[in-house]
Amino acid sequence: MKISFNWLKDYVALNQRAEETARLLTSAGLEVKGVESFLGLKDKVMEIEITSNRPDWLSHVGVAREIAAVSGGKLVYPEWQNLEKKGKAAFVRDRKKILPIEIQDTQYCPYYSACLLENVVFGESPDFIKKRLNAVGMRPINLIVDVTNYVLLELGQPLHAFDWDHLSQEKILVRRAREKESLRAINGTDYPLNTRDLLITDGARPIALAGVMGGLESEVSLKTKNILLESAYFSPAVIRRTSQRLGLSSDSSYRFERGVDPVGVDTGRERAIRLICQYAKSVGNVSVVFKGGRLPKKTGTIQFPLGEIRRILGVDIPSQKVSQYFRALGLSVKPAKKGTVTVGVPSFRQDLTRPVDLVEEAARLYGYDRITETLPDIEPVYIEESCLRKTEEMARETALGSGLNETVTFSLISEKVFEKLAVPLLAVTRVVNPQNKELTLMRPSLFPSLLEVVKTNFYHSSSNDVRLFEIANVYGPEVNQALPKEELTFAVAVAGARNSHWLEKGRKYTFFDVKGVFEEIFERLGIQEIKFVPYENPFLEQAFSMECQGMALGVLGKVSNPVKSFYDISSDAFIGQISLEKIAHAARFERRYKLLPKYPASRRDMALILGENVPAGEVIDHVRSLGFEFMRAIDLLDFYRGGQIPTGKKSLAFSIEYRSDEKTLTAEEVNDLHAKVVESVTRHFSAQLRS
Amino acid sequence: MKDPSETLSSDAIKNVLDELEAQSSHRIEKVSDNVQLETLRIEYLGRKARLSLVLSSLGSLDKEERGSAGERANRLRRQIEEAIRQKAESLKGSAKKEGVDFTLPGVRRERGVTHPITATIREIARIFETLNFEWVAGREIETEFYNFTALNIPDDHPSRDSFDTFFTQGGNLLRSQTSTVQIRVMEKRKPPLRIIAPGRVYRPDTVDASHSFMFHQIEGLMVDDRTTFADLKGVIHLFLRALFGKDSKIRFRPHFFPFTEPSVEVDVSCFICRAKGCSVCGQKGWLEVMGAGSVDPAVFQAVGYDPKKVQGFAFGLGVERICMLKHGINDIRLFYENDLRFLKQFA
Repeated sequence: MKISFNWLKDYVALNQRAEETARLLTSAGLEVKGVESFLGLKDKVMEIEITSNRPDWLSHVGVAREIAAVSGGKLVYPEWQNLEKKGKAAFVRDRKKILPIEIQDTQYCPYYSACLLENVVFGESPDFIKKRLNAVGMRPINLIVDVTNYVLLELGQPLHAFDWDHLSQEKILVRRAREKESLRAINGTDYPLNTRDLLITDGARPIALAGVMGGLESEVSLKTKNILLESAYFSPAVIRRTSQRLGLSSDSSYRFERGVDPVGVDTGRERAIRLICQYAKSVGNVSVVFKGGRLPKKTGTIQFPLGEIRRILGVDIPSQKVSQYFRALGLSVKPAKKGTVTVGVPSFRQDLTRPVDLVEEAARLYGYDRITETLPDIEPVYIEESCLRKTEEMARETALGSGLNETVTFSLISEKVFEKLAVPLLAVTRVVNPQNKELTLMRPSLFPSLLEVVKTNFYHSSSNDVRLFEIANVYGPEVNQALPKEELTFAVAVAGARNSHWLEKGRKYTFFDVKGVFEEIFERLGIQEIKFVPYENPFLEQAFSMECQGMALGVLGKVSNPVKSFYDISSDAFIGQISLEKIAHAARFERRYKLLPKYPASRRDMALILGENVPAGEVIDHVRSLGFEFMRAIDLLDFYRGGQIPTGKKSLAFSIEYRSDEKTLTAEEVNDLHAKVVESVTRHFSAQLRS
Repeated sequence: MKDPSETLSSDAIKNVLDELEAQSSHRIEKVSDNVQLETLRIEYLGRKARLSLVLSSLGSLDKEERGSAGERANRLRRQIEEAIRQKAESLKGSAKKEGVDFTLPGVRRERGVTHPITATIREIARIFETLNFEWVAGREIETEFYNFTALNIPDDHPSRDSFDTFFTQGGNLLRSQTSTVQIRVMEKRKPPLRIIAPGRVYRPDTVDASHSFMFHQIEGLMVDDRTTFADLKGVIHLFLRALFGKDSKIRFRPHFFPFTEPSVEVDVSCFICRAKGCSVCGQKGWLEVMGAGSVDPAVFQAVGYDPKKVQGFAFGLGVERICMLKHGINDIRLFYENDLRFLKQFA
């Protein structure tokens, strides 16, 4: 909201520079975003951000009141009464005119008042009004419209002026709109209404969308002679609902939805009448006030235990000081039973209802910067890190160590890739009001997001080396509107090739670069017996499910061609993801030390020529299954195809470790044992030994 | 049978040993390549070397002479051997120096880079963990109750303006702030509580250089029977000093949040210009970094705590904002694009 310094000076003395006033207000909670000078107007204007709990600040008088409170000044309230005593008042109210005010729903509209001003001759506003409106960014139109705006900005009460000759003149009926009813507002737009909107009607036709905007037809212009001036109190929630639904916010609705000062409804109306009478060329009859309904409770009291200050703030403020602050804010303070005061709350502070609200007021005026910093004095709290957190950190560390770069991508994704792959999305959660129309899906997998990042990097980067991982939730469906499952998931994507180094040649990434990351994570989490089981996945062409004791933990594989072409990825890409939640259950973090072997181990190599279709894993499993006590480990050394190896065959070389816990095995013992292993393997797999 | 002509006399032995003693180490030292060194080695230690002749001639000397000359000859032999060995070593070293280009890049096991958002969350969490706060995780898809009602944000109320929200088909919503975790934790546990809850939050904002519809927040909550607003100041100041430097000053500005009272916005003195005023702090010398306050009694009531018996504070901060300030990043969208040229700057 814009506040003019010249205008403020009508209500409070400004003894300090504009910047100092801005600082004072900011430290009181009215954040001044900036101060602007208007050279032509010889004025300065502040842009103030006003929090939604303080509608009383949405006016010049309201801001002046705060300045008076924090600087110890005095507030001068504008003249608003229209006294009727002959000789002293400008006019005598016309009592002959009667306008019934009927309110159909007093929850929606607790109070409505109006006053008829007849034969008003008017033109432009006086200079001071025009200047002030201009300074705060409002265009002057004519005296009547300007006065309603002026009072809104001065006192915070929204008013509306109707051209009386466009009304039926029989009554004012405030009612809820009917289904499919509509109103053409002053801005020329037709607004479709429903039964939760509130209308002002002249008994026959709607003339205003209550509290939000007047109707175009009854708008006041320079041709208007007779004016009906409205001042009312509408339900804040009703005004907000309508304004939000129609996307139509006005200075008026902004104040009504935050709650206007009930006292200001009558004050504001009278202030406007006074200004019109003062600045119009002439005014004929001014009617009595036509009213309907009742204003909500205007004032309140709070029993305030002064000890709350110490308890909540941790600082002692003398009670005299506290009372002084409250009075400066326009509250009344009376002593009640011991340690408690009765605080009277004026109508413009509807936000103050509880002792804690007063604690804040006391703290604000005392000054937050004066509160001494302390550290909490309580017993230590025992903290146990969750398995999921530990698992997450272990996975992240492993991925980083494997040279993968961490990404953070949006949880909301487009459905397009699923459409392209003809994958039906049945068990998913969707957003109904997306910010970006495409991003509607709470992702059920991290694959689309990571592939998007692969695409971005191939597009931007000179490098062909893309290695990524992400740790984030994937989301299940909302079964019967229940909250969906959120599962912390770890995903990897590797594409392109490792760059060459002068000592190490570069090479293309393979399936095994991704597999190795998962193997290492499993090892570090103490999860054994992981099986890689062939599996169907719409994104992958060589897909494997990673399983532990029958439980599927995740998938990995090579990105299929349709998916690659969807993401414009030309080189091979490999991708995998696992549920961290699932592996956290199986994880084992503690490590027991095992005695180091006393006697040395011996290794023997075994190079085999086998059928193409014999998996290396089966050879290893077979060797282990032989159950030789001294056979301690078997590692794959080499895998080779082509060259001297006949077609349909491949070569696998293993290194096998032999060791006894009781003695140093002799070369002969090792050779004998190894011969048995080799013999068994060659027989079982019809393999040949390579020399 | 030895050829008597090859046997040296006692005097000759002495002459040879004198000469070798005087020259050998000097001559070895002067050698500049392996060929010269080999020639010298043969000359001094070879089968036909004079020292070998000395040793083989020792037998012809009488017992006393034999002892002392033998000892001397053997010591000299060891000295020459050692000098040649050392020379060979040093020649090897200089050969290496000449043959290898040490400006070639070293071999690196290129480690991956932590995303700056994760790194910032960790840095902040570590500070609070030293203050005995516990890291807890919370749901992202939530109900109206946890995101609004329990946090004292009524329906049809302007306090909702700051919390534009995504809704799901099933009538749930994406949390618009991590304060939801306060409610989840307080429902389950009794005070004392000290938690921080980092995570993703969602608001349907138009995306630009400083707004994103998804971003990260860290919520903090401390509840017991005595923690005050003054304690909040102490904790926040310690935290911001740890994050932005020991000379950082803080400013508490009154503000409004539905779930705290008193509520504040916290400014930290600009660490870039040392509060003198620069483009980052808008010439103000202060950077707005977080919101905080004493927990509103209405929130305690919503979770079944007695507001007369418990008290404490809550705070919330935007991770992206902190990260952008710390690294001078000017566009929030960079975080979610994951361009490796961006990410690798934070290695």
